[in-house]
Order: sequence, then C-alpha cells, then structure tokens
Amino acid sequence: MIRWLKRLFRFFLLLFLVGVCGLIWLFSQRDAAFFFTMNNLDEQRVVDQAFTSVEVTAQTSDISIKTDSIPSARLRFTGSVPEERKESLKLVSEVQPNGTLYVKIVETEEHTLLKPGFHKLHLEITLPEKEEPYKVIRVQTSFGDVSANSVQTEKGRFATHLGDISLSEVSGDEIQVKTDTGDIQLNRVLAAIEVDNSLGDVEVAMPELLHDIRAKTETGDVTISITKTPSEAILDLGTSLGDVQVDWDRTAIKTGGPTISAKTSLGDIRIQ
Amino acid sequence: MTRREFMDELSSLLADLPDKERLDIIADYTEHFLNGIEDGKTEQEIAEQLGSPKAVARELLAGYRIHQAQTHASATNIGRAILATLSLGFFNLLFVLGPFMGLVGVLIAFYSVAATLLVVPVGFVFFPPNMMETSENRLLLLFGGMASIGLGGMMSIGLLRLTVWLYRQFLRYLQFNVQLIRGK
Repeated sequence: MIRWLKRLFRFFLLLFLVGVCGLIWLFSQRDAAFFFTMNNLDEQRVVDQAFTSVEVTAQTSDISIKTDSIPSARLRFTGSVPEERKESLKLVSEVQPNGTLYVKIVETEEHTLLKPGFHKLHLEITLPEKEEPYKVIRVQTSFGDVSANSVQTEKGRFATHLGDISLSEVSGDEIQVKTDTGDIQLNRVLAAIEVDNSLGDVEVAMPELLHDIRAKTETGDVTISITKTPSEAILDLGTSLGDVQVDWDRTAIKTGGPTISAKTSLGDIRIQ
Repeated sequence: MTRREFMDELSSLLADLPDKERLDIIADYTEHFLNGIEDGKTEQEIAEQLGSPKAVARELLAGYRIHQAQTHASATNIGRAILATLSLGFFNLLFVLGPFMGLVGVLIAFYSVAATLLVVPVGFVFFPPNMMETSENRLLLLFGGMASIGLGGMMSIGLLRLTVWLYRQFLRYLQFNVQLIRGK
C-alpha cells in the first residue's frame, strides 16, 4: 500500500512539475495573450470575374466548396475568434491572369503542434454552375476539415493534415484526396480516385464502378461500396495485419476494366 | 458496599465488553479485594477506595474503546472511543470534542481543496468553457490542469498520511485524558 502510494505520489509530482514548467513557458512567451470573450466573424465576398480553376489554401479553417446556379462565385468566411485576433485573420481572393480563382485565409499568427490555433473558422465557397467542368480545383488546409459537394472538375485535389475530408457528388477525370490523421468519406465521386491516408479510415460509396479507385491508408480501414456489382474489375487488395473481405461473387466478375486497389498496413479492407 | 455488590454492579456495567475482557477485569478487582482483606481492610473500605462502580466502569470502558480504536482503526471505533471519553466528565466536551471537531473541520476543508483541484480540470474536459477557443487558452488550461491534478493528487496522498498520523496522535491524547482523570 505504502509503495503504491509512493508511486502514485511520484506520478502526481511529475504531472505537477510538467504543468508548472508548461505554465512558466507559456507565460514567458512574448506574444502570449489570454482571451475570455469570443466574437463572431462573418465576411462575405462576391467574385465577379470569370475563372476556370480554383485554388484554396488555409491553415486552421475548415473549407467547404459547392456549386449553385448563381452568376458569380461567393465566398463566406465565418467563425468565432477573440476581438484581438480578428486582425490576424484575412480573407484574400483574386482571379489571376491564368484564370485561377485564388482564395487564401492569411493567418499571421504562427501555428505549431503546441499552438495549433483553435478558432472555429469556416470558409464556404459557392461556385457558379457551368456547362464545362472546372479545370482544376485545389483545396488545402492544415488543421481544418474539407468538404465538397456537387462539384465538376477535370482535376481535383483535396488535402488536409489533421482534418477529415468529405466529398459528395463530385465528378471529373481525376480526384486526389489526402489527409494524415483524419477520415475520408467519398460518396458518388465519379472520377478516377486516388486516396492517400495515414491514420484514418477510408469510405468510398459509388452507384457503379466506372473509374479506377486507389486507396491507401496505414492504420485505418478501407470500405468500398459499389451499388451495382461490376461485370469486370481488377482487384488489388492488400493488408499486412487486417482482414480482406469481398462480398461480391468473384466468379461472376471478369478480370479487366477499372482497377480497385486498396492497401492498408493495420486495417481491414471490405469491398461490398 | 460489599465485594459481591461491587462486583455484580461492575460486571453488569461492563456488559458491552467481550466476556474475556470482562472476566479479566473482574478477576483483577477480586484480587484487589482479597489483597485488601489480607491487609486487614474491610470490604466497605476497599470499595470506598476504589470509588463507585459506575465511575470505574466508565474509565475501563473508555480505556477499552481507545485500545480497540488503536488496534482496529476505523471511524466507528474512534467515535466510540470519543463517546466513552466524553462520558468521563462534562469538561471533556471542551477538551475532547472541541479539538476533535476542529481537526475534522480542518481535514474536511483540506480534502475539499484537494478534491476540487482534482475534479475541476476533468470537468473542463467535459464542459469546456467558451474561452478555450485559442491556442494560448487551450495550453493554459492544459498545463494549469496538469499542475492542478498533480497538486490535488499530492495533497490527497499527503492528507491520507496526515489523517493516519492525527488519528494515532488523537488516540494518544484520549489515553492521556483518561489517565489524567484516573489521577495517574
């Protein structure tokens, strides 16, 4: 009992010392400031110029992109931030000569793993619907989530380090999706898909298999659901420690056509 | 009062004691009477010297309860020891109950502080305040929470040790109190 209490005491002492050292370090930071009230941020902007590609970058903000039957693109930047921090956030947008709408949330505040920034920020981009698909749509954020809905693009690249990615009704030639720790959900994405994930799960749901699907994750599961069982497909499935389950009648599927490649180290793979 | 009357009354007043303890005490007092008679004293004189059986029984019961609390530490046993000591005299309300209530009050206050230090940071995890939306505030709560849990944990363990020490010291004080009343 006494020995057990001594060990527990040492643990609490360590916890206390780490906490105190952390507080000393925090208060010694030159730019440290503590805020106790939050203010709402709501900035809206209309982009009248025509453009064929879109490039969006942010650090901590979530990004959602969709299309609607509107004549001009609309940007809406919302969130909850301390009044003193409003100045450190800036929404920048311009249409460059090469026809790319460039949108960036400039955050002058430095973000690190210890200071990831926890503003609740959200950038919503509504693009006008066009007959021709957009040439390139690139969306990148470091800590936020990414979502896209009803978007047509020849090439799409959606990436985040820590957030989740959710794409729905996205079509085009080639869609690349990448996240390090978040989950990826693709629903009715009609394009050749390339998914790269480190720790999260990957879920892909399609009405039918028309394009290649390549999904890779280290520790997560991969679930690919195709409503209509394909008549031909190339399955390239591999996991180091997990299980592979294919719910289709594989004898009825000819070898050929689109490829489904799913690789994971620790997770399970399910094709249904 | 004769030896038999003294013994009968003492025996009935010590009915709460286990048989072995009670019989040992009766044997001791019987021997005391026999020694007195051998020295030429009458039973009445010896009984008068010993005092009333009620007073003797109260002192013996208090001693027994204190011993019981020392060998089997528990809140019930220390409560019984205190009650038995209080029965020795009205002034013990001041000299026994007063310090005891004071100590218990101080311990409850310290335990409350330790529990608050342990629980509040955990509460912030489940019910985060609105101020937690910036990195600094998050880190402030993280490090502050670690320091708070660490301090609360160390305080709890220290208080456990302090409670055990105070328990023993208070029983020694009760013993001293009983001996003082006996005039030893």
